[in-house]
Parts: sequence; C-alpha cells; structure tokens
Amino acid sequence: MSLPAAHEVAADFRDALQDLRVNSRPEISNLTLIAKENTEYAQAISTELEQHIRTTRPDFKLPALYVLDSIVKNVGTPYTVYLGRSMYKTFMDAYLVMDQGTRKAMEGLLKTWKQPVPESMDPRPVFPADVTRDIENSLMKMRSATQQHALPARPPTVPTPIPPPTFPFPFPPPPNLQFSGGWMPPAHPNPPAAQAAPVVPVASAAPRAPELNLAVLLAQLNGARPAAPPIAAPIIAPIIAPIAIAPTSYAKDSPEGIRGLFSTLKLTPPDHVVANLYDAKPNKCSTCGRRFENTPEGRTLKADHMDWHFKVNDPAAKKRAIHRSWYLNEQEWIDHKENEEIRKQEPEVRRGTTKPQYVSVPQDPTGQHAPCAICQEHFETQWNVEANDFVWIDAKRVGNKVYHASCFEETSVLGKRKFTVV
Amino acid sequence: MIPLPGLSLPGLNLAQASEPQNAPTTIVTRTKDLAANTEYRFEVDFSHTLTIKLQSGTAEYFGTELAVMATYSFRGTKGAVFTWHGCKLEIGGEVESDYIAEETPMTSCANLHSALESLRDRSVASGSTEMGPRILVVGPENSGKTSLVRIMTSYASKSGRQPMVINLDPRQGMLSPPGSLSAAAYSSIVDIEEGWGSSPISGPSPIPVKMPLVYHYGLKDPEEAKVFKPLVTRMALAVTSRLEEDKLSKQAGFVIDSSGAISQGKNGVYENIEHIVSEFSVNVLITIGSERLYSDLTRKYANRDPSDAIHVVRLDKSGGCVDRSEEYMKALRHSQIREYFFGHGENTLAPSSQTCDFGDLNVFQLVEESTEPALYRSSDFNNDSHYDPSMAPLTTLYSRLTPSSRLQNSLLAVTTAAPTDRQEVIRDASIMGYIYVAEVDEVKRKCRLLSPQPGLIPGNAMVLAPWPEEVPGLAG
Repeated sequence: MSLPAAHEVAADFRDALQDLRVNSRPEISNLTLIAKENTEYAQAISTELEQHIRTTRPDFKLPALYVLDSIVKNVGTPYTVYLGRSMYKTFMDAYLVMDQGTRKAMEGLLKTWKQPVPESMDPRPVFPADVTRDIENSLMKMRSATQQHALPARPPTVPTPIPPPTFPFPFPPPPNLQFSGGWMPPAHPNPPAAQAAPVVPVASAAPRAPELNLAVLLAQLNGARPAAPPIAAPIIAPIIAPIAIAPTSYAKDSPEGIRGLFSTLKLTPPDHVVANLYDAKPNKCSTCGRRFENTPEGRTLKADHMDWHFKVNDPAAKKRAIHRSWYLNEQEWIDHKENEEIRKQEPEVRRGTTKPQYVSVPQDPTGQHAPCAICQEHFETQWNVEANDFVWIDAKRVGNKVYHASCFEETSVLGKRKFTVV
Repeated sequence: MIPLPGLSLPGLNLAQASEPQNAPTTIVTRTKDLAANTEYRFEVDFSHTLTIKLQSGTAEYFGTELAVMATYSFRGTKGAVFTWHGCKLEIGGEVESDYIAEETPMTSCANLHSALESLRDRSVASGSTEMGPRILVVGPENSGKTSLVRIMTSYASKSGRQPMVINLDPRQGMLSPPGSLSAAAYSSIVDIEEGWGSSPISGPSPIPVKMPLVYHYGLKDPEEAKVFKPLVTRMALAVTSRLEEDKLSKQAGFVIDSSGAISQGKNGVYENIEHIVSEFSVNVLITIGSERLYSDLTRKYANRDPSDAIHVVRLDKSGGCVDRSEEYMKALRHSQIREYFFGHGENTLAPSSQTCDFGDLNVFQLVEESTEPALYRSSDFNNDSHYDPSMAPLTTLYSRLTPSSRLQNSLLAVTTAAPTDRQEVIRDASIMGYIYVAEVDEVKRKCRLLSPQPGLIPGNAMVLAPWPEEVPGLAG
C-alpha cells in the first residue's frame, strides 16, 4: 500500500485551509475536491476542519464554514457523520464570536442544512434533524436570555446589529428578516462544477419550515419557562464543577427546559463568555473603556455616560477645594440605590426645599470679618427687612462657627451624593 | 483649590517630591505585542511610575477593560494586563520586573464567571425571590484572592450586574484605609489605577465613586481578636437588609474577600471561615492555591441538605502571584491612608487641619487579652472610666483614653455611635471615616487633627486601634 498516511493528507488539507481567508469559490472547490478524493481519511480531515474553524480568526471562520457546507453537500457521508457529531459546538463557538452580518449568513447556512441537498434525489436533509434542532434551540435561548437583560422590549422594527442577535422575539417576525423567505443561500461556495454537483437554486431555499419551526420553539420555550424557579441546589453543582476543565472537552448537549439551558451554559466555552464581555457591547467609551450595547438603549446610556464625563471634567468644579466625604451610616447605606434615575433627581428635590438662609452679622469686630469656615470666602452682607438687621446671605450658624449654608449642606451627609452618577 | 490659611499640607507635595528622578521628558516608551490569551505582568515600586497605554486590540486589568490610547499610571503596584484578543501596549517608565506570561488563570475565571452568571439568571428568573450567588474566596496570603474578586466583580458589572463586594481582610482596605472592613455595590466600572476606586468626595470624580459601608476592625488579622466575629455578624445583617431593598444587587449576589490568616485554621478547623459562611449564607466557597484547604472544606460541607448546599470550588493559584514583602505591604498601607486624606494622583483632596481640646474627643481603645499589655497599662492614661466597677473586666471591650502623645501619628476611627453608648454598640457601629492625630500638646491639652472634611470634629465615639500602625508625618 503506497497510500499516504492520514496525517499527511490532513496536513495538506490544513495547509490549503489556512490560505483560505476570503469567500473564494476556487479555493473552496479545491478543498472540497481534496475531501472528496480522500474519503478514507474523512475523519482526519473533519477533525482538521473543525479545529481550523475553532481556532482561526473570527473573520476567517465563515469561509471555513462554507468549506464544511460544500463538503457535506457535495460529498456527504462519511463527512456528514463525522462533522455532524460536534456540529453543535463547531457552529455555536463560531456563531458567538461573529458580528451580526456574519451571524445572519450562518443562520442562512443552518437553514439550508435542514433541507435536502438541492436537486438531489435524496429527500433527507443535509444534516439529521437533531443536529440542526439543537443549534436552533440554543440560538433561540440565547436571544431570549439576552432579552431578559434588555430593559424594555426592543422595537420590532429595523434589524439593528445587536450581537448576540436579538431579533424581536416574541414579536411577530418583521418583514425582511431572515424568516420571511427573502433569504439568499450563501452566495459563494457553490459546489465545484467539475463534480457535476447541483447548483443551489435560489428559490429552493424556500421559507416553508421556518414559520412552523418558530411556533414550535415558542411553545417549547413558553412551556419551559414556568418550570424555572424551583430545583435549587442540585443544579448548581454541575455548573460549578467543570470550571477548571479546559474548554475543549465538550459533549453535545440537547437542551431541554430550564435544566437544559443551564447545562448548555455549563458547556459554553470561554469564547461565548468573552464575546458577551466584549463583542456584545461594541460601543466603547473612549475615555474610560466602558462598553455599551449598540442599541437605542445602549446609545442613550452612552450619551448619559459621556455627559457625565463632561460634567466631572468641568474645570470650574475642580477649582473648589474637594475633600473626602464621611461614609454613609448603616441605614443610609441600606436605603442607598445605585439606580441612576434616583441620583439624577436628588439635587433638584433638595434645591426646591431649601429656604434662603441668613444669620445676623455678628457684633464683635473679629466675628464680622470671619470667613466661611469651609470655603474661607467672606459672606455677602445685606440689609434684611424681616430681621431688621444686617445679615449674611446664604449663611448658617453651627455651634460657634458660621458657614455658607450651601457649603455646609454640601459637606453634610445629604450633600455628598451629588456626584455619584453613572 | 483654595489653600487653607496658616496650614501646610506636606502630603500634597509628596507626590511631586518623591519622583525627582522621573523627569517626564526622559521617559522612554517601548511597545509590547501581546498574543491572544497572554498577559503582561509587572511590578513597579513606590518611587517609580509605570505608564501603560493600549494602542490597539483589547486589554483588561483584573477584568476592567482599558480604554484605547488612554494612559494609565501605576506606582507601587504588582499587576497584570491580560488580553483575550491580542493587543499592542505602549509601556513607559521603569519597572522592577516585567514579562509576558502565556499561562494565565483567565480560562478558569471566564468559566467561573459564566457559571455565576447562570446562577444570577436563575435569581432573575425567580423574580428576585432567590438570591444570586453568595461567594466567599479563601486561600493563603498572596494567592490571588483579591485579584480574583476584582475579576469576578468587573466581569459581573460588565455583564450589567450590580455585584456587592465585601472586604473582610483588614490588611488591605477596600475604598477605605487598612484596618477597616467594608462593603459596597459595584454598579459601574472598577477603577484601574486606584485599586477599588474611590469613596465619595465633595466634588466630581473622574471615575464613578463607590458607596461603601465601613466598619473599623483595627487589628491585622481576624484571628487576633474577638471583635471580628460580631463585626461579621453585623455586616451580614446590613448586607442582607440592603439586598432585600436592592433588587439588582440581590440578583447579582456578593463576593467576600478574606484575609489569608483565616485560611490557616487550627487542626483542620476554620472557625472564622465557618462563621462567615453561616452569617452570610455563603453557597459558593472558592479556595485558591491550597489543596489542603479545599479538601478540609469539602469534607466539612459535604453532608448538607441539598437545598442549602455549599459548593466548594478549587482554583489554581496564578503564576502571576508574587509574595509581597512586609515592607511593600507597609508602603501600600501608607499610600492607602494618604489617599484617603489627600486623594489619588492628580485628583487631590484637601483635608482640613483643626485644633481641638482634649475634652472634645471621645477616644476609646480596644482591650483584648491578645493585644500587648503595654497598650493599656493604666499608668499611661488618665483613667476616668478605666476602672468602672459596673463593667466586669472580662466583658470590657474598650477603655476610654485621654489623648496623650501616644496618640500622635495615629488614625482614629470616627464611629456613628455616641460616646455614652454601650460598648457593644460602639463595637458594632459603622464608621463615618477616619481622622489623623497630627500633634498632641499635653501641656495645653490640645490636639491638632487632620480631618477629611471641614466642619466640626464629630463628638462621636472614636476608636484607636493598633492597626494600621502609626503613619508619621502625614500632616506636617
């Protein structure tokens, strides 16, 4: 037998794969050809391909997925079997680090996998239904999980680029979104013509299944929700357990109900976690690095945040002597809310209730020239009819010292919350 | 800033005075390219400044993301800048040592974060009836506990949560000088340069301030004194009450940072850990860098009712953990105390220097059998209430102290209790802040004090404690 060893074939395949950076039809055809001619090494090639998709840069992942798509559609078994085994992980890992546009392309890809190979005699879908269903369920749950964080439901209008994608479930699918039948098959990797493979006709990717599917998923999801609260501790153990395990040893999991949601999260690789910390909020504050979602709410929050930066950089505010405030006492701390609305209103409320304060100008000569004990500036003297005396405006006597009422208020416990915004 | 008349504030000049060799013009910058999943570790002492600027890519400092092209300065810091995606850093200034590490604990941290997030989701799903994860981090000194707590806190707050952090390590303060125990919710980013960030000040702060609840412990280790446990109980009560009021914090749960001392234990019994676990209803117990501790605690909490199971988790110590010398820790404490009064970096604060009569101060000091006898030898002090017969000696927590030159250079914790309150009340009271005794004139019976803010020195009960040690020359 002069057959090359499996690792040699795999290495050739890998080399060719590593050059693939854009959606190039000749390159994808070539890779498909390698796979077709070496079906006896299908396992090694599949592993190679999976690994490449997992490790390559996010922007090179989609072309690699197109190679996978081309291989399973043109060659079929045994690749379908090998690649199908960890399809869930391959797909989800890539999906989670993608931008919105690429995710849509991947959703399109997924859709074609639920159907037979176009113009094929075989009526079975590209991948067995359980493979695609698990992925779809997870995408669904990801969206609903994202929505729990969002404050109001997002308006079901424009498909704003929000990673992870929150198409406005549970609202009816808006027109022009992926479920409306306007979907285009990946405009690229059409099978190598030389193999006499079928060309994917645009129309064949029909919108028949999706509506039904959505309904099914909706039902599943709604059914699962109320079951959420109980089941306490026993669930926690499996979540916590695999922390130290390297993120490679995943098994495909079919999520069922809330329990499934958790075991899916358990298996979530750091890719997903990291994407949530970074890519999910692409709108980064250039001053402090804080991130915001690219949604209307996210933009509003960011605008407030930028206003806050502007305010704290106000040079006028910096000129005054600033000092550390006393800490809150227990009751104040317990009642304290980090909530922004409350903080914004607070100064207004206080200002409204403050009455003009004054004290009579002291009789003794040293007292008459004493400045405010806080800001060290002198008081403004005025004749006050009500007091029938010269008074200091905005002054307050505490003990034997006189302060500007506003200075005193600022240093008192109430006053110190003024700048604790955002 | 308006200089206060007749008052020198040497602390303010200290920042400039201590960097003569660092003329800004001579700082040579260099760039470092970090591959994905690596971290740049550095140690810089208190007399040098290291600057880090993220030129491209993404990077985080203990979980808090760096802004692109912003310059961050570090002094007296041992830290690490990690990147998930790769980045280019511009480094300026001198370091004691620095290198790029490829082995980092961040995968574990991310998985841990992900697991905690799912527990928080459960709390949200339960309509906040269930509380989010209640985490205690334990492990020996210098095993990376605080770093882990910071990463978990940053990640949680980046995920839109509002986690509560509780510091039970008196060696390092959180938002407060060392010697204190504190709790605060983190609704916005954790600061990069200033440790945990800043407690409220009277003006705008470039980084959102945090609102801590602070108690004074006043000793180095929880194992040293009996006041630790009642304080933990008290804090647990306050935190629990707050979480009942504050839905966001309740969903996010809390993380407790602890002192290495409580992880030593006696014959496999960890009294203070057990106390914290039971008072705070901890349900996730993270052990770092100690197999023995992990195994002891696993055994201890193995047979609990599943409904209140405690999950003991083991994490490896990061290769980036370095032993911090006593000298470094002392410098760190002093810089925390200085920051309390004078602010951090360019954001200077103006404390107020005041003179007051002995009679205006109500100073108490801790009486514990474990403290040095010399500290409460009665001959040192005037003893108005020292031998009050109504207090049995065994239950005496505090003795009243007449100011003497011994107080000089010490910190006094200003409690929220009145001097006439029972001793337990004084012990359990949270504090308003600290004042510093700059000078004591025993003849005129007057003290010069440095108070964080102008206005009257409160007549509340103040507590003097041996920890942190005296800080000479904080205020001329």
